[in-house]
Amino acid sequence: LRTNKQTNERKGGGGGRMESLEAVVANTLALSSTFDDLSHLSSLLKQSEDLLVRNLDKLGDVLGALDAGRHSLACLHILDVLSSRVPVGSPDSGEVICRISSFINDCSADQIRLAPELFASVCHKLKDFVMTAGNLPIKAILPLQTAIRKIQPTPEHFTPQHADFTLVCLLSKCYNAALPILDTDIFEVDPKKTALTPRDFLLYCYYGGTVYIGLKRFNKALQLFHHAITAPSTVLNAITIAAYKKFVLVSLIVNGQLAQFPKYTPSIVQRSLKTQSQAYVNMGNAYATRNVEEVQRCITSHHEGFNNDRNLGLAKQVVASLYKRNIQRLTQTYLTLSLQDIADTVKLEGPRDAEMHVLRMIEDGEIFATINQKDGMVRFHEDSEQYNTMEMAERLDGEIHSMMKLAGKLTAVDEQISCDRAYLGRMSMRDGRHGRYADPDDFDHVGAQRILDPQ
Amino acid sequence: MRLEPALVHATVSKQGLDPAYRNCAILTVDSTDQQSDSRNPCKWDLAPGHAGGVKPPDWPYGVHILGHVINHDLNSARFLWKRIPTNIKQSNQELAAVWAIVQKMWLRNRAQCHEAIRGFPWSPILQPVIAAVAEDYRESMYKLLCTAYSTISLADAAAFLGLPECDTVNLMVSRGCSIDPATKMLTVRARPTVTDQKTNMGHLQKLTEYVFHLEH
Repeated sequence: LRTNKQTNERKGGGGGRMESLEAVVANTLALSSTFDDLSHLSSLLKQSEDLLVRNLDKLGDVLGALDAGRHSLACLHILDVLSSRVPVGSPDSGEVICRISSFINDCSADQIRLAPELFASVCHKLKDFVMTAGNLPIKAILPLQTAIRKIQPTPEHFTPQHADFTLVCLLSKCYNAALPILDTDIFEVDPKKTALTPRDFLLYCYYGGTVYIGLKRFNKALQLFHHAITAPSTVLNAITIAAYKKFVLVSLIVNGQLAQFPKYTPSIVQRSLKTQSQAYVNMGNAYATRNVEEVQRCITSHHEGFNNDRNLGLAKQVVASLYKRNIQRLTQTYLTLSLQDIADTVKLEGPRDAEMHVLRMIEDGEIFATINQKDGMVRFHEDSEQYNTMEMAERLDGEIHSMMKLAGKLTAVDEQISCDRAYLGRMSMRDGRHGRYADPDDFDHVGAQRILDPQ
Repeated sequence: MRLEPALVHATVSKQGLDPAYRNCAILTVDSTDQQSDSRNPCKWDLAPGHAGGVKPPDWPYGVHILGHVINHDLNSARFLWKRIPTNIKQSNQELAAVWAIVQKMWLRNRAQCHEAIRGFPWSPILQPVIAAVAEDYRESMYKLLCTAYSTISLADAAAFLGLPECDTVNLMVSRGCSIDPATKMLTVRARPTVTDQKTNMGHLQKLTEYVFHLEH
């Protein structure tokens, strides 16, 4: 280890390049304690990438000499070089997966936050490696979840690892494992701290929506696909198109119709999306007729398209939802109805089939009815929920609390924007046109005071 | 309803697993999760944590799947089945029988589900778990019957409950239903709903908070 004198000499030398692996190790051991040291180390390491690439075969030993917890920054640089140079399908990939997983488990969160783009690159590599044949995606679930928690400044921040994590859960069919991350609402997006890109966000929305579809939580799936479609953009991309296709089918299941694009949808999306997914628009139109045979015909004619998009299962769920919707509409008109009439109206095969459908809906809580087999009749009821039980009170309480939290956040964001220079500048220009304030500079102090002062 | 830990422990330890894996079925595997409940079968999906979720060859998949079933989480049971390696699925007949139960439940084929539960010579390890599943299923089918039907034929009720007709009659009559022997129709008595209304000072505090929030 270096003595203090030599460390100071090296520090005094400025941000020079390191010439050998030994220098890398020595600097790492010396400069890994305080924040200033780490920043210095970070700049040294950034300039040493060629050195690391040249010594590729010795990097494994260097990693062994360092401790992932105390020297996370250096290990990160080395791992990044190591994992980029190993081909994805090679026999060494198993070892690389192990190295990256144990690094993520042991590394120090403070150190890796100094190089978020490298951390993102290493996590992407982990995802690429586990996706190849012979490796199991399930291995990456816990490491990537740990990675998300370590790089996030707060649990409400979005990170590039969110997309990789959701993909790995999807591929390994551990949908429940994705829920702790998916169910946490995201409020903060900070590219500087997390090195995220728009592509990460779109992928997260698409994969997350697909996980929710698998868990049959169609409302949440709809929200995520909605984010993907309305994300600001100037060109159409494949992720948005794929998300839109699923969005259409899930909209039909949840709402029974395809809503108009909201005002804040980017114009390129509004103009071109429907032409890219004609089969799905046709589904929407067929569903609107409430005729099951129409919808079936639509599926048959676009069978190959749905199959290629892997949406055939979802399309079949759309048909099932149409039967349910048609039966639910009957409850609005009739108090009692015979099973035969239900079968005829909804185009089912017979009263027995109708009975099975109604029973299924009762079991799932989608309808309130009792079947009278003696007379072959169904009696529809109102929702018997009185909202006076302990469970309901606790549930209401939980919902109200989360609304209060959300309102608090909204107020904070509102105040923040009110003090923002760009906003105030715009306001002043708008008023300036009406001649109220001669000089925009004057406005900064006066205007801010006005907005913050309730009078 | 959670699988009782004693039951799981007994089941897993009887299989003579390696101690490391024996504990996995009971211990928390994700230490970062604040709300972990080690009796929740969803936590077993990623066990053992140190091997990255990859299961050893003697992992008790039967118990794992049935854990999800008792939790009324057929989705997780289905996905678990998709994850199990094909060679294990094909070689283990008991596992295939467990999967048959899940399939029938998923397709809501009640009579066949009861048959699948009864019709296999379960190993001593799975017997208590299967018994718990059978009891739970019969109870939930009874609740469904009472909610969904005002009158039902004896044959259908027997299929629901997986009992022969005379036992069905005895069970229903003991719970307050009546039968018309001529038409073999059971008249179901609706189950009374239980409302539990205890208020305490905590509620008063919450109401105060709501009003404060609304006023500001």
